[in-house]
Amino acid sequence: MTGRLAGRVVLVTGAGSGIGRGVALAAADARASVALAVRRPEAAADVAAEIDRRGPTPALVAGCDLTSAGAAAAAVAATVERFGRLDAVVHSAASNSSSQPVELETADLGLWDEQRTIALDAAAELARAAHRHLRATRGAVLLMTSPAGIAGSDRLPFYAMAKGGQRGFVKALAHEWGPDGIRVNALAPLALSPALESAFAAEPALEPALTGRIALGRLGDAELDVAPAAVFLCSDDARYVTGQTLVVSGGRYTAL
Amino acid sequence: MSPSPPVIVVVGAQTHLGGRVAGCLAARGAAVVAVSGVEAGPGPLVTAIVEGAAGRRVAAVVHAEVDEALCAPRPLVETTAEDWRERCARPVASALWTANAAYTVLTGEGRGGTVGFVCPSVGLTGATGHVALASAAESVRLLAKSAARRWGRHRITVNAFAPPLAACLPGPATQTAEVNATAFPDVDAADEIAALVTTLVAPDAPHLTGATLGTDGGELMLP
Repeated sequence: MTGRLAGRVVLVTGAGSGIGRGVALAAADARASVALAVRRPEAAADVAAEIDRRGPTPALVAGCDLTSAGAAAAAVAATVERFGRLDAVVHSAASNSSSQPVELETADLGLWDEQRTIALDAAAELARAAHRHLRATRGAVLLMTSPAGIAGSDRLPFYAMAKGGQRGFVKALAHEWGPDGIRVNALAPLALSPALESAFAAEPALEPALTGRIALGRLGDAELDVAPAAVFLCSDDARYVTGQTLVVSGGRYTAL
Repeated sequence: MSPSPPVIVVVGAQTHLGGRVAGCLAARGAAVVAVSGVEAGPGPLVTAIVEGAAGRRVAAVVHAEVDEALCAPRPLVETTAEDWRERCARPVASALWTANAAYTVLTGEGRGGTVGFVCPSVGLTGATGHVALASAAESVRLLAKSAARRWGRHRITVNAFAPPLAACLPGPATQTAEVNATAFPDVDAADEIAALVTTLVAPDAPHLTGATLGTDGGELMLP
């Protein structure tokens, strides 16, 4: 990946942990300047320190509560102010409740609103704010969706809906911004994350059941297995790829 | 005397497509309860369905609320936060209320049934000016899949119907040059949906669930 994003600026939401953290580190390894949009800046301190060590420039840590109107746009503005340009926006943040099982029939629909706010409303605000900057650099938008957004989920129906909605978002925006030279894609990873660890803690039988269905026989690593695909989609190597969902699941999901 | 046909509920009959689906179902001999507007949550919707059914068994609920105004294209950069909520959040809330109401009614009667959600195919393909609608359509389609996984144990099938966007709007569809043939270019998507629903409510219906059923005459042929 060395140099694949040299001279580029990448903004990553949800960069404090999990997939977002892995993408931020991989982008720095690919020589991008990285902005970390995180709800609690202190939670991203170790990621920022690692990027300071590995990347071409110190990371920007932007406090960004995506449930607040204007927060996403402020993160974009801070990124451009610091680095002078914007080449890619990676939206990896998810609601804190995204990994909590939901009884669809009785759940408070406020739980759906929470997930939609981060997954879709914030994606729309991020994209709107980033548009003119990405048009200037012929950049990329990348949403972290999920295989659940393809297959549905009995345990996590609201999560599946949020992630499915992101796939619709990507397809439509790819058409809309193609003439501007902006590519819009989604990545559906299967990797060990804080959310998945929580799910395993709640239901221990889930981990062996899941691992047993992965063609490669193991859960992915956010930085080593998933993030390189995200870097690819943000780079010129994916210059003719838009409107797609790239499933990075070790062969767990092959039905798309 | 033959038994009265089971009731098929159409939610969103005030919209162009919803009204047409209700009409096509009635033309096919179904006992249709047309519910207009979903603004107040699942409770009032259950009441409306029960009152409309008037003691008859409800066998199917179809969410066909595709507001014509939301089908007008609008670039994302011109979409305000308020527009976004109207175009993306509200349609999904309507579908969720319908899902809850359908579950309550169908499990209450204990005989299962079928639920359908109309998800314009722009969610599958994407299109300029339709980011909010595509997001909403795909959220609802994943609602259908997730509900299907949960409700099979109650003998309830749940599917998504994917009509072309043009079918959601009054007036003739704009003809554009094809680069690949549509198998049946002149099909009526509303009647296709009605035909599928009547098939899925039949006593010997297949266990078809979690599927996305193209009602476009074979235009997309997904997956």
